[in-house]
Amino acid sequence: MVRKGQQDTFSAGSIHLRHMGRETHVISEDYSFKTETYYRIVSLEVEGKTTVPSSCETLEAYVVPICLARAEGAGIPVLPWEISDHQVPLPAILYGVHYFADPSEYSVVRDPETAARVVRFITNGGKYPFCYQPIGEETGILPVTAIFGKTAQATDAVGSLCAEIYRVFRLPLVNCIFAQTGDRFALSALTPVRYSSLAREERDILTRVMEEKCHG
Amino acid sequence: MGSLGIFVDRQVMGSSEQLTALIRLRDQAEAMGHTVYFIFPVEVRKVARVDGLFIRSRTDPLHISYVAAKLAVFHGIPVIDDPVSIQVCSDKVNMYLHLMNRNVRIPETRFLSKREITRSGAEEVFATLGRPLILKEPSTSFSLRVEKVETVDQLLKVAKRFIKLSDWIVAQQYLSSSYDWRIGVLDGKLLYAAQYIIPSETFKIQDTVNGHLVYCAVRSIPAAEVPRPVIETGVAAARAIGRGLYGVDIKVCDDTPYVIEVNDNPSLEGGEDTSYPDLYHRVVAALVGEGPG
Repeated sequence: MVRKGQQDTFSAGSIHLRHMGRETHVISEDYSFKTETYYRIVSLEVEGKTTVPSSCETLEAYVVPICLARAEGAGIPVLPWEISDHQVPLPAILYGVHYFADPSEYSVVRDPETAARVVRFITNGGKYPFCYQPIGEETGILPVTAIFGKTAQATDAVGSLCAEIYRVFRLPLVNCIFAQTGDRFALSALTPVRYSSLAREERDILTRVMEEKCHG
Repeated sequence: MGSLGIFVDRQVMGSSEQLTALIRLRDQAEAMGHTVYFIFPVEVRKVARVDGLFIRSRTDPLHISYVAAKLAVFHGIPVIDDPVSIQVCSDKVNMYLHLMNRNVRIPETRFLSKREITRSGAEEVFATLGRPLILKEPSTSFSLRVEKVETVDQLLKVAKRFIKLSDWIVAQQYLSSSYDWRIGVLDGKLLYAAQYIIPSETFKIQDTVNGHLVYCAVRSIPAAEVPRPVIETGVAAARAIGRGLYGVDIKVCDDTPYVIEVNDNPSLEGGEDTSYPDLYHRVVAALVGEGPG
């Protein structure tokens, strides 16, 4: 159930700490590099605390090629990926890989004109490389919000992938971007989730799991 | 015999000084019996095929160089700079937290978050750190986004610009000196020492003055001529980060060394090795061993 006052609990930018044994779980809507959440985690780590996620895990999750290499190593199906500085086979999903890249932004390109425009944008005019993931013509994109690895409405197949992704990256709140081809799913990227984008059932899961962690 | 990968990008290869340093490194590695490959960003997967990786492109956790470092670690390949060193050194907040945690002496330092960037907050920072003071955006490199401010208005203007790039920024006591020590440390041991002579037009080792780039002059100094506390401070600072290759910048004020920053991926092309002819040999050996040569 959504409780009275819950709106405030998950206000934009709020960070929630839950202590379980020797671990401090850090719940936030954005774990990106140099955010308030990231620095809260780094500060705890330097004090010798064990955080979930660790600062290293947040970087691994949001830098797409690293995310996919790590996930693949853990047996999670991922899209093939390559790094390029201009050319890209079509259709494909594109991500920036540089300091100014927004981890939540991806582009699906299916024609050369769109690809050229997107590449120019995400490479900052050719200054940086980018990551592309070739997909099939019939491939669709399926973003799924995972809350401590749990999902509100995903199928069993996707739900078990989200659980596995949580086991590997340990981000309490994350958008899993899957490429779906028929009944096959492959991870494309992990991106931040805004509290405001959570459906009611997802907020319920978040509240419930946080209470469980609170009571250990 | 091993294979050494050197991860580079167009910017590095476009600099004649850096290219010369890379060729010297390659020659040293080949003289030691190793094979050398230059690996460019689009070939990052080739990292998995080498026995050791040396990263010579700008490092940042969001850059392709970090991908190269992580892939090397995933494949169990020795790498300089390792991902942790990149993560810590590319972020001044993280770096200073590590130094503070190990009681390495640094200038008085405060971290400012968005809510502290107010007129009263600025006055309080000046009261704590003195005037002028230095503001740094945490991802600064090559002295970019490092500014000296003297008034509340200046502080607010610069801080508001930096806070768009990072939720925390660094405010630091200003220490004046005509040169910085650069202590190169590899695997927790002194690798080289140099003085970076700061251009008279600026307080940074690199700056743009009237539209022109001005660089510090580099003077390689034999270890025996470097004050012992400077070397000890440099080594302690490097060890607070890890066991990789670092260039530690130190200012000496009132005979006391203060660490200004610890750089991963330190410059080697400025003549730092003049008094240290084994510098490249030691870097190669750390990555792929001594080799049969």
